Formats: sequence, structure tokens, C-alpha cells
Amino acid sequence: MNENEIINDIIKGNKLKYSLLVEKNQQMIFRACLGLVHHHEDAEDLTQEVFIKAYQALVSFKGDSSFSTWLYRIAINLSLTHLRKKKNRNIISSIEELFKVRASTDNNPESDTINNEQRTIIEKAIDSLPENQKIAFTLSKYDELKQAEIAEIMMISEGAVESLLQRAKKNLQKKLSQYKKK
Amino acid sequence: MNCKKSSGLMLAYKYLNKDQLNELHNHLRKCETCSDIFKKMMQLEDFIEEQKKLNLSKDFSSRIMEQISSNPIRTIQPAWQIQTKRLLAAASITAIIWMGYKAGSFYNATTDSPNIEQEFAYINDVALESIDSWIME
Ligand SMILES: [Zn+2]
Repeated sequence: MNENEIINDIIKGNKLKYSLLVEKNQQMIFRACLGLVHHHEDAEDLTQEVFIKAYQALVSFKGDSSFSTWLYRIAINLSLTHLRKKKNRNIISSIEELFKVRASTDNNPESDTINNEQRTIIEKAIDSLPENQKIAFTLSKYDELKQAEIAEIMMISEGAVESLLQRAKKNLQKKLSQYKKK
Repeated sequence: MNCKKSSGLMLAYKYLNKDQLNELHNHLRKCETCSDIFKKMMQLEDFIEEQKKLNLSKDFSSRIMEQISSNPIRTIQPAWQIQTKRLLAAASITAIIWMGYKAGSFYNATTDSPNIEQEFAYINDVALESIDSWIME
């Protein structure tokens, strides 16, 4: 049974089949959200929102792209909205937020290869990327998607993806090197 | 080799040949600035690898299934239908007011459409125009 047949079945009322789509796509959507927001719980909440919204809007999925491409687009939209809201909150209470970021990363099940200060610096560097570079970078590094797949999700050419990735890496290098000077 | 070339090689680290790798390593041994940048780029890779090890809760998919059991798939009206419905509603309300009647019940019947439209503005294929704005820097 292919994806489109499963989707048609679900729309006809066989809700249980949706679990097939969730299980197949959940981890990669979670990674994409994680790459954009970095925070474990926020990424899980966003992944949940992606699957609920996708379910509610299933009739509007036309099958022009693959279901996973469609999910990625929803995930990117929701994650960027989440980040924009968070940015506004940051302006209001930047000090409070700084402590929250540290407290939250303390809970991560991590190795000791990087410490929390380094982690915060890296998160900030990724966050400072322009949105389109951040999306391309996340899909490439976190989800290990090929440039052609990223191009389809972002609706741009492969050449444009390549240039976004190069600029993202260059910007990250520049940002990370600036931290020493402080 | 200068620092500029070294930065360029660092960006393509995974794709360097043996000679290029040697050249880069020789520079990093001598140049503190570049070796510091290199260390940070490696930390960035470690950070991503570390995040990729994170997993969703084990009951994630059953939680989703639980939520959708009480959550119907919404049928979405095409934009022109919503538009037409609104125009018709506006016209009928105007007519009713003009005729001197109260239009309460008619108003109620039309309030749901803007909500649906707004919510799907994000994920509707058409509304994915917003993706275009990502592309423009
Ligand atoms: Zn140097």
C-alpha cells in the first residue's frame, strides 16, 4: 500500500492508518524542529503540532510533492513562528531567558565533549543565521537530506541550496571566531 | 599558507585530499587564531551529533493517535467559496438591515469561516508563499 492510498484511506475514515505515517516520519520531523529550535521539549511539542495540523489538513494534501516534503514545510513554518515569538519574548526579558537556556541545556543527556557555555555559543551562532540559511543548514546537517531534496522542500533550485549552505558555513565560522575576541 | 586560505580549507574539511589536509594541519600547528576557529568548528559538529542522538518520547505516536481520535479532519472550503459566502452574508445582512430586521442569526452562521481560513493560512499549499520570503534574504 503506497502513501497516497494510505492517505485516501485515512480521509475515508480509517484513522488508525495515520499511525503508519506518524511512525515513518516522526524522527526526521523531530530532527528538523530540533535543528531549528535546539530545545528538546520545544522540538517535541512542535513535532506533535506538525502531525496534528497535518492530520486536520489532510484533505488539502494534493500529492504534488511527497508527504514528507509537505510535513517538512509545515515543520519549518511552525518552528520559525515559534522562534519569532521566542525572539520577541527575549527582547522583553533577555536576562531571564539566558538563565532558562542554561537550565534547559543542563537537562540534556549529553557527553562531556562540549560544555554548556560552548553549547550556548553554538546555539546563538546558528540562531543568528538568516532564516533561509538556517533551514538549508538544518535539513542538510540534522536530517542529512540531499541538496535536491532540500531544494524541493524550500522550492528553490539546487544551486541556490548549495549557495545557502556555503554562506551558512561561512557565517557560522565567522560568528564562532568572533567569540574569542570578547 | 595564509589564514584566509586556511579558513577556506576548514569549510571544506571533509572533502580535502591528503595534500590539502597536510597543508591545513601545518598551518593550524603554527597559527593560534586558526586553530581556535578550527576547534570551534569541530565543536559545532559535535553539538549537532549530540543533538541528533536525542529521541522523541516512546509514547509519541500513541499520543498523536489519542489526540486525533477526538479531532476530526477538517474539510476546507476553497478560498473563492469563503469569499462568496462572505459577500452573500454581507449582502443579506445589508438587505435585512435595510428591511428593518435584526440579523443576529445570520451573523452567527458566518463567523466560523475566517477562523478556518486563518488557521490554514500556514499550511495551505497556496499560503506556502511565505516560503518565498525565506528565499529572499
Ligand atoms: Zn591562521
